Amino acid sequence: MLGYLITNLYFTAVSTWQCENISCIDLRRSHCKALGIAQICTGFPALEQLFISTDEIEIRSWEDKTILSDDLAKLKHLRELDLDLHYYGDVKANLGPYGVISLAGLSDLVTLRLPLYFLVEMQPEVKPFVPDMAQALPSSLKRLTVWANMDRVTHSKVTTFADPWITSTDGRIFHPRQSAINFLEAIVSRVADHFRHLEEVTYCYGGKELLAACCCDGETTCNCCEASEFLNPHAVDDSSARMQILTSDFETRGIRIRIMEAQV
Amino acid sequence: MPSLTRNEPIRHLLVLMAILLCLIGLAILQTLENPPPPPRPKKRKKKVARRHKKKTGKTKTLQTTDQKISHLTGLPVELLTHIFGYLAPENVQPHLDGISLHLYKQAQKALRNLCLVSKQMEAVARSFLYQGVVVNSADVMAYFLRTLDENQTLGQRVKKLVLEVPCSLEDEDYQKPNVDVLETRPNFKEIQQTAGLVSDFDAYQSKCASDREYWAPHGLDEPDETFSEWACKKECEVFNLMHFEILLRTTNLETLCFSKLPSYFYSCITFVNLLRSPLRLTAPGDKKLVVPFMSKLTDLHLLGDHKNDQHTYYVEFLELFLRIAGLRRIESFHDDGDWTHLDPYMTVSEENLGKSPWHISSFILPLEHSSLLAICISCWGT
Repeated sequence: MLGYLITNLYFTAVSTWQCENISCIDLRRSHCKALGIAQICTGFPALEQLFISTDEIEIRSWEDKTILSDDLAKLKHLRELDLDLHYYGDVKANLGPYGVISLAGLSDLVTLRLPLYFLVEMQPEVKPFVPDMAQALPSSLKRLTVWANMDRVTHSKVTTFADPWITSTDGRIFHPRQSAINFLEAIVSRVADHFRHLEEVTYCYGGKELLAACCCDGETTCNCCEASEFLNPHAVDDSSARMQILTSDFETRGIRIRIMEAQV
Repeated sequence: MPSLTRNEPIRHLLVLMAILLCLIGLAILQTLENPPPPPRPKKRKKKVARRHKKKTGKTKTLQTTDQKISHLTGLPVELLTHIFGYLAPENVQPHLDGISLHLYKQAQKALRNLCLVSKQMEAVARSFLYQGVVVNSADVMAYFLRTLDENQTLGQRVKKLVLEVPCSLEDEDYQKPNVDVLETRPNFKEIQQTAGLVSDFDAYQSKCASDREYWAPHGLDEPDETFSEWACKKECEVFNLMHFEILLRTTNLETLCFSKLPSYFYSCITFVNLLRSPLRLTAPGDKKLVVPFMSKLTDLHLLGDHKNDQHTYYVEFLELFLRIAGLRRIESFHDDGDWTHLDPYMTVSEENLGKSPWHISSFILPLEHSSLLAICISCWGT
């Protein structure tokens, strides 16, 4: 009996996991979905680095009422966050209020890499709306990277890119190039009073379409050029002019800005 | 123009002279920088040679080689450690390509050769030889396990271990477990017995009969399992046992990389069950001594099959390692995403506790807890 009691006591003392010591989780080509991320955030509260990259996973919607912003807010010591999530499906409702992720509570966050889609609110109007970045991102940020690819197009079964606006199921729109510029403008406007530690901002774009050689025949535009128009801020004259102003604004404030085509 | 043509030979001559002068100048400079050594007195040279001939009768060449070796062995251990450190393989990683694997093997070979020079050299080189190990085939696994069993201290030197033995029949590099190597070792009876079952048709039939007895009262047919499927499972069990025996002997492991994780359910479950058994966590040869299991592990890499997109590994596999107090970093590749199964209280329900005092869910014990478990076990015994 004594042995049984001691053993039971022992179970209760040490049978829980030692998750509070784990400071880094790096998942590559994971099949992790919302509930999995929620479980990680709950189960490993001492995480300082979290990297999740997924395969292309088709999900109809985020499985339950899990809110990504709330889950990530549990990681109070997080310093680096990289979410390379490739979900086919509208997950906006599960990101946070207004369909935008909010990480303002993560006061130790220094390095952040997220899909641009997570930070831009989709609106029924043509112009994409970018919320106040001071409420979405913490002031401790030093390196910020946002990325976009053609996922948002392909998930809606659009085979050609004739329509410049990527439309979600309920009619809201998301345009990577326009959104990227709006987002960067929103960031630069808050450098003086909020993003005081910011050193580097990067916009990454990529996709299989961009890798193909241009085959425009004069009348129709090829997929490669159309994809570039969607993603590349320098592809269109108007955007290019805005980008020049933005670059100069960032540089004046001592922040390095990079626009790069890369595999995302 | 004609005057230019006429002066051509003179110009060539001048250029040649200039080159010659430069060469002579360079030669003089070189002589000044490295003056030739002063000639040794002839008498002394003769004496040394004569004395040497009288005493040993060895040739001059041999003497020179001996001197070189004595210089190296004369170095303090700290210096030897520093020098041999450069020989240690740097790329102890999974999925090494051909060139990297060749480099790794070359480094291991160089260290092995140093171990053969003298006992002093061996003492230094051996720590680097076993510091980082890649186990990438059934043969390497068997020989490595045998070596660890023959010399218990070697296992303590392993700091980084990559286990990527192809355990799945679908893998093109699959080899059957090489248990013959372990034949003479008394600690591997279970491995031998399980390996013996692979070709034991009688054992398969008796297992089928017991299955029928189990399922019949429930009104169900026994699950279909062919002899080859059964044999495959047994081979898998042998691999699991060998993995486990290696981990049991590498007590100072800091980085563990489990590559080519078994993607099929059965293998994963048997491995989990294997580690769940607290009775197994005893020192080889001394079943009373409970050993701390991987208590120094800080980095864990769980990697699914990088060649086959369909083969993800089960996240439950991670559960085995989550009780290690020192674990800091988890790197994963190609997991099945089912993190919701990782529920710390799942295995500690009251139901489970009531079943058996041996159902210890925290089978992987941190160092500081191992003594407590020892107390628990001894109390239970009394």
